[in-house]
Amino acid sequence: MLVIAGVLFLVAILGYGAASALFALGMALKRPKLAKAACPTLSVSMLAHTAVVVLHLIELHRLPVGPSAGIVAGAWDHPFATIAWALAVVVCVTGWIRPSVRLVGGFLAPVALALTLGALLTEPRYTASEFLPDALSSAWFPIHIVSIYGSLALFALAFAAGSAYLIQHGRLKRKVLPIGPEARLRLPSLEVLDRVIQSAFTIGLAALTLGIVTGTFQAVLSGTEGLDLRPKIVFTIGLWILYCTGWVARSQLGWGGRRSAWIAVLGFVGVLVSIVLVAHA
Amino acid sequence: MRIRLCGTNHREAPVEVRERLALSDADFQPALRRLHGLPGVREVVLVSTCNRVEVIWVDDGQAEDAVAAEMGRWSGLAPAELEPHLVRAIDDEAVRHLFRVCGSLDSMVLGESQILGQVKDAYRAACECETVGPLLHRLFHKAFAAAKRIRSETDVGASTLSVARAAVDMAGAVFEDLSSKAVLLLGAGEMAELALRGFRDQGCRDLWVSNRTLSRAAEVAGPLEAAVLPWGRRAEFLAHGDIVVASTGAREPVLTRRDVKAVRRKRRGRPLLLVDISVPRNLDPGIDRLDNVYLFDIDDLAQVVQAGQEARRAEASKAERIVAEEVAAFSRVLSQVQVSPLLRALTQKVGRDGRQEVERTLSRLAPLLSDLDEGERRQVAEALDRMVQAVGKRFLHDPLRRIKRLGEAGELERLEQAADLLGIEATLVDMGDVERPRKVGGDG
Repeated sequence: MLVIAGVLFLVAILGYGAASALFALGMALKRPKLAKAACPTLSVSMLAHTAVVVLHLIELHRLPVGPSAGIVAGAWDHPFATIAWALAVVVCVTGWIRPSVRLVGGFLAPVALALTLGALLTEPRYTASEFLPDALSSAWFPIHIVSIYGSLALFALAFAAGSAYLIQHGRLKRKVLPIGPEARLRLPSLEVLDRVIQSAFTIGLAALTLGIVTGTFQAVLSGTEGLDLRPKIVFTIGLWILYCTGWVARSQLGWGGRRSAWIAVLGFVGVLVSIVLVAHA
Repeated sequence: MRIRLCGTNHREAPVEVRERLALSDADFQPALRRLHGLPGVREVVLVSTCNRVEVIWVDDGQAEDAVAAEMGRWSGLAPAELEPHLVRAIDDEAVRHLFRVCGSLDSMVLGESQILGQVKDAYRAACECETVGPLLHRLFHKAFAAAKRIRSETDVGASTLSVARAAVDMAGAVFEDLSSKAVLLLGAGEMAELALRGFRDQGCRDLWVSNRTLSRAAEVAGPLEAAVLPWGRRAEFLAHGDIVVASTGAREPVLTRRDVKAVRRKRRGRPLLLVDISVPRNLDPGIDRLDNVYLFDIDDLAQVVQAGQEARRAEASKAERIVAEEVAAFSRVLSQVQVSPLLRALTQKVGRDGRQEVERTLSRLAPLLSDLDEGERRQVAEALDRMVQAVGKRFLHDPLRRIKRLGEAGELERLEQAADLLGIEATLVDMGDVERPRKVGGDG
């Protein structure tokens, strides 16, 4: 079963790569069909990746967040890969629910590719079982993991919508409008992109808050040592403050539009730094 | 039988000629029936729009002058007046012309979508009058399919061609659903009114008109079901409105950057679209530097329109290739279809004659077969029948193959000669292979 999971994981990586290439080429060459082909390609990759996660659950009875002691696992068992899967799920589900924002998924395909390739080429410095020996058996752990990964995926969606917003805003300010073949490459309207950013902020922030709270509970209840301010914790709290500020500013001060888009983009850059440089360095 | 076309259009005839040829609703069906009643005309469809009056019909080669004469009769134009403006085409050329018309490649505004609906209406009217037969059913269905292909595979109809439409397109890039947006028209210029009409057509219901002269504002607002906003309160609209279209004769800006800036907090980041289609400009250009505010002037819109025209011309060559492919495909199908009634008639004739001969032989052999019982007599009859049918099949093998080849090569005259020599009366059109008329939805 693990061999099948490995093969499916490679299929998912190839799919993320193909979706990234199709989207980039479609946008660069102004070929709508190419760019739009990225969306079904991403969906196929997401389904393959979902199968990997399901096989993992059946075989190892846990989410693929790092190899347990004594089990030789492949790159698909890496946290990076699971984050990539979570964001692919969120993007695809959003696209199915709201087809007008489907093209936004193209912005996230390279992120999913980078994360899965990162999983293939690197190993987590600490495995879950080494780092949090009691955590894996804790009832809080699945909630913590699902919340944190869910929030990351939603912030990734906000990043994609924010990137699309800034491009669309730039086009309108430069008076460049899609004409001819480009008309079919039309990005979603500013209004709908702003709504996606706001929704992703709201749900993502709630999920991140739940993740932080359950993580803290779990650590306190299991008496885990080392709850001092490690870089990962500092960065996570910093991100929470940033997104919280963005959310409050948006809902209370009317910081909609371009400012929200910038917060979404910069916030996700912070998330990537947190994942790659701080938590797993 | 041949497919023919005769008529005139905006390219060939001035409006003075076109308006005399154009048919009113009341005159349309009688004219169509008269055309169908002309000697030699088997099927006919009449297309009558403001830019073209064209007759497409199927005949045996004798009705061309009669159709032109009928057009002269209903228009009251003498042959010498009408003839220089007439376009005539036969077979593939007629098919190509119809496909180009349906694909909006022959329209005054390249790529406009109304013509397809108008041709569909003409076809539907002909179906109702029962002036359409198997050949024109097939031809028109193919023409509609070719037009659909042109729409889906090219962008010949995608680009914006009017300033009013460009303003609506701009709004589509900013707002998801225009039906919930509030639109204000400043001034009562004709172009702004067209733009407001465009927004209403997109579902906008919260429409406002503001003008220095209140009565003129009410005059414009009435037909559009818009509300009138006093001129002095126009800046207040900015706090809750979404789209402003300005077209006044003012020499100074009627909305300034300060006006918009004053309401930014109340807008809470909601985007505001301003369209200025007046010269001199009515909206302060500095407004465009504000965040979440998008201002387009007449030059920006004109640029979109010009680019749209160029884009359509570029796409037209792709559409012409599709037309060429579809004409070739139709021509192939048509020639294959035309031989099947002949093949069927020939096979049936040989089969029928063979059975008659078997019966005659059996009656002649009756005295010899009288000693046989019923079962044995049936066996002899079946054996004879099988033998005659086998001989017939063998005899027909080569002729049928050659007839098929003639059909594929489109050799209609030789096919007719062959049918004549073989003593077979067959319409060289397959009634059975053609779809029955069905209701077709129009888009114009």
